[in-house]
Amino acid sequence: MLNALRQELELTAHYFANRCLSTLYFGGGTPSILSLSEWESLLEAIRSLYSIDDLKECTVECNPEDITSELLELWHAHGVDRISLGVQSFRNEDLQYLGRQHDARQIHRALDTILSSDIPKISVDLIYGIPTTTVDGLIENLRLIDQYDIPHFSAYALTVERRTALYHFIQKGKYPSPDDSAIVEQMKLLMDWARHKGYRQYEISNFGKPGHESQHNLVYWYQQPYLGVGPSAHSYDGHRRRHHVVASNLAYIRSLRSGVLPHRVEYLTDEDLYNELILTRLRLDEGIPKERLLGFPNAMVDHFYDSIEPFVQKGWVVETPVSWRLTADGKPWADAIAREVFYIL
Amino acid sequence: MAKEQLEQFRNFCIIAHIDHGKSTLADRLLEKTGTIPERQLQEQTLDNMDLEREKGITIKSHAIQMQYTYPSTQKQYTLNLIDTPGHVDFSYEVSRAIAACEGALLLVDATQGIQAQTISNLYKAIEHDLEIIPIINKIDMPNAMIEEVQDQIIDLIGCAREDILLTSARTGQGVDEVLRAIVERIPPPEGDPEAPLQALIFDSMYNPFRGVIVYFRIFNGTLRKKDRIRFYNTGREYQAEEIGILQLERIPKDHLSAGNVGYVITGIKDTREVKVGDTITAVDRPCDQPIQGFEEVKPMVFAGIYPLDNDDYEDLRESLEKLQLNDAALVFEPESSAALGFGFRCGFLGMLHLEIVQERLSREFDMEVLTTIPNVRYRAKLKNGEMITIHTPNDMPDPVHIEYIEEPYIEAQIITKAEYIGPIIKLCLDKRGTLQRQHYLTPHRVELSFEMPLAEIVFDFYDQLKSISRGYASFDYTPLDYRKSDLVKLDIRLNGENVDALSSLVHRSKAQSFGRQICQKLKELIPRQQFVIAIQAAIGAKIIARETIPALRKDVTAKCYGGDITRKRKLLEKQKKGKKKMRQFGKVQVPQKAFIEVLKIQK
Ligand SMILES: Nc1nc2c(ncn2[C@@H]2O[C@H](COP(=O)(O)OP(=O)(O)OP(=O)(O)O)[C@@H](O)[C@H]2O)c(=O)[nH]1
Ligand SMILES: [Mg+2]
Repeated sequence: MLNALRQELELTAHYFANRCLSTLYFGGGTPSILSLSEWESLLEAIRSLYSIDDLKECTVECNPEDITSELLELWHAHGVDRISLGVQSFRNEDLQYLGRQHDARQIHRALDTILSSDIPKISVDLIYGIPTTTVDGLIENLRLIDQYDIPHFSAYALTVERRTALYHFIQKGKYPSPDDSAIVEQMKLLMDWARHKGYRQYEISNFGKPGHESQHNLVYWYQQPYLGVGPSAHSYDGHRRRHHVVASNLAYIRSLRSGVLPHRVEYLTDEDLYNELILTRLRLDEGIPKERLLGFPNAMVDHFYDSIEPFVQKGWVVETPVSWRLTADGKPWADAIAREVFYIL
Repeated sequence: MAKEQLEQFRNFCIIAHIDHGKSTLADRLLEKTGTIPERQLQEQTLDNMDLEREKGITIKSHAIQMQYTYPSTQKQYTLNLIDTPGHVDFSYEVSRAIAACEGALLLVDATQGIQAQTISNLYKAIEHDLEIIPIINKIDMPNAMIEEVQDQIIDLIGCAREDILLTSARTGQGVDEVLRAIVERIPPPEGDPEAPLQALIFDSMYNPFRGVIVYFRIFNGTLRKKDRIRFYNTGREYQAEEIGILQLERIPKDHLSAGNVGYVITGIKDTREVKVGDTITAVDRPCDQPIQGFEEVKPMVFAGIYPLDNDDYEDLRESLEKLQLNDAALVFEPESSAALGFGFRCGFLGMLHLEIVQERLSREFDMEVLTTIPNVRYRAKLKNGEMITIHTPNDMPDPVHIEYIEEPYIEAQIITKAEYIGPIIKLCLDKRGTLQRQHYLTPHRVELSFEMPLAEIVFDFYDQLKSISRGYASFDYTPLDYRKSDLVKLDIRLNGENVDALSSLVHRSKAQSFGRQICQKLKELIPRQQFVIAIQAAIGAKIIARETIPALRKDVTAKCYGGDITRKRKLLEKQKKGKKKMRQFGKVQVPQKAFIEVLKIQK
């Protein structure tokens, strides 16, 4: 796998003309696959191909059970300055429902290890609306975030994906399915709590104290170019071209062994670009900038004005001089609104 | 000389109860006569509609011509075969095929014996004086009961045991004997090739390139290419631009004469000009009377069909007209609904027929439609003495003006194994039937006869009957008369708004459970929306059932990073496209599927 990754890095090194990286992100799963020495050589490979002098943020996403002080030291030595930890919940019954490997004890140990390391920035992922979490359970989770003084967190409503073990258990009636009204109640509670504690909800599921917004994720939401490396990674050139690598590890390794990157390219049409702009910007606190919107063909702009209006009437969307933004009441409806405003021939 | 020409023709159809093997036997006949090259032969080759292949049943009669050399004399014969459907809903197809033939192969499944449509189709053939060749099919099956079925057939038609042929349409066993019997036993057509032209239109279809294609059987005279012809009933005249015979494809010919079956293309584009059952004659030497056509179809079930998009109303009309050419049992007239706008009230022979029409509209004409809850035709006697017909639930007058309401009754014949008598009687009593007769055909087989309301049997009676008898019951019915009945109009409301398309007329004793079932079904099928939806069933102002759909799931806070963006966009796009298939009632969006599913609920 490592050889394949190195091979891909070399093949795609031309992606950014200046070979300058401003953010780096090692996605979930990587830490548990690579050994210490493999990490070392991966990081070196990146450094030999790209300049990281202007690196603003370098994140490793990992699960509590992966954290060791050796790893943290190594990462730090190679410029990693942020850990995104997949906590999900501090409560064991929630973790069990979600089918996670770790328990509360491991979370606390991981947090202690990270907070006492040299890595300065940290973020945690939380999931709410788990049937085993009551409002009290959520408050307990939030209290711990506060206690650890964690400056950034992401909070997602539980979504049950098809073809997962959880989906299967729910279908079989072994586990209860998530309850909508509880999800909404918890989402409201969470938004209020975060505001009160001085977090900014800069994206619908991301909360940060001032200056702690994730630089990397903003790249996706602002339609800036990014390069994804590894099986099933996506890349975007900032204009119309997107490509993604095959998802199968085996096919990935095999193909790269013969020097070919197994990927598929997709070219975005005006409609695709418009729809993605709506989808991503509606989720951002800043909303959909008028200036960007007006750059699209008239038919789409007209459609936008017609279809956004009912939501303005409802009080879910507000128009500002420069943008359209969701109100607090509108936030739970972001998908429904995006769908209405989407342009489809 | 004329006689000699006619002597070479044999026109016959294959009739039977559903699934007894008609289309498979047709395959063997086509194979033995070399009509279709082996590589083009599939299972049930004649079932060439996608729908037929998917459902494994014949929906349309299908005519095809074969050349056959009779072995002992080496004489050439032209055999015109018409394969027919076995399902009750398509019995009109059988009637028309019979009118074009002199003989019929009556197939009986050796494992099942005589069934209800064996009998009803046999009677149709006998009424038309067809020569019947009884055949026991599927003799290769281990559970074939050849002798018992022979007894049944002898009982039914009074033939000799030796007259009954034995075949396996699967292995081909006995098929040579069938071909010989066709020549030996079915009389050649009568008629005079020199007489004025007289040809019966028994089917037609619309072809987007060629216009209307008319299928006919010539009884007298000769039709030549380029002849001027007249349709007797409409009085319209055309030129026979192309004529020919029907094989797997159309084979053009210069002339066709009495006794033969073929097609004619005249370039007619307006589908309304052709009526199945009409007579074709020649302009310069017309016949003096038409051929006896077919009896009028009597639709049993009525339902409104509406375009999904109101702008498609005219297209829907055109599509229905084209479909009607190929489905003579379909009738329709314009109607309108507050909820659905302009559409058509259509008459069908049964629920399968309705389903097939809906499917064909979608597949062959790209017309997505909504169908309202079907009902039979009722009559109401008003207090002022007037008698009115109720075609749709919305025709139902205010109950204060009604003296009484009547509903149509039928006589149902059910043939079954003796062991299932108990459950079948119970089912029929549940369906408001009364037992009239019980007649043992053999010690193990019984024919039961009931009088029942038509409304109770058109919907899902047959499925229920089959399931309680493990398939060992078959069923046929004939209309009787109208009888007084305690009917009510059941309305469905979404957030307080009446959806007239979902109204129905039901017997008071069934209203509550039917109302509850519709509400539950709608709850399953209407997607959550941005507000709570109340679904109610009501009789007048009285609510008799209710369900609630909670507001939409607010799942916005799922992750949305690099790779997720495309995925999420596509997901939302797909959902949005799905919404285009919905109709709006007040604020509530109802998917097309909901209407179809509601139809499947048993009353
Ligand atoms: N074993 C056996 N199976 C047969 C024979 N003839 C037909 N079948 C099977 O019986 C089933 C029904 O055959 P079809 O030829 O479609 O019957 P059909 O009478 O045309 O049916 P409808 O047109 O729908 O009324 C198919 O699965 C055939 O393969 C036979 O002689 N032997
Ligand atoms: Mg068939």
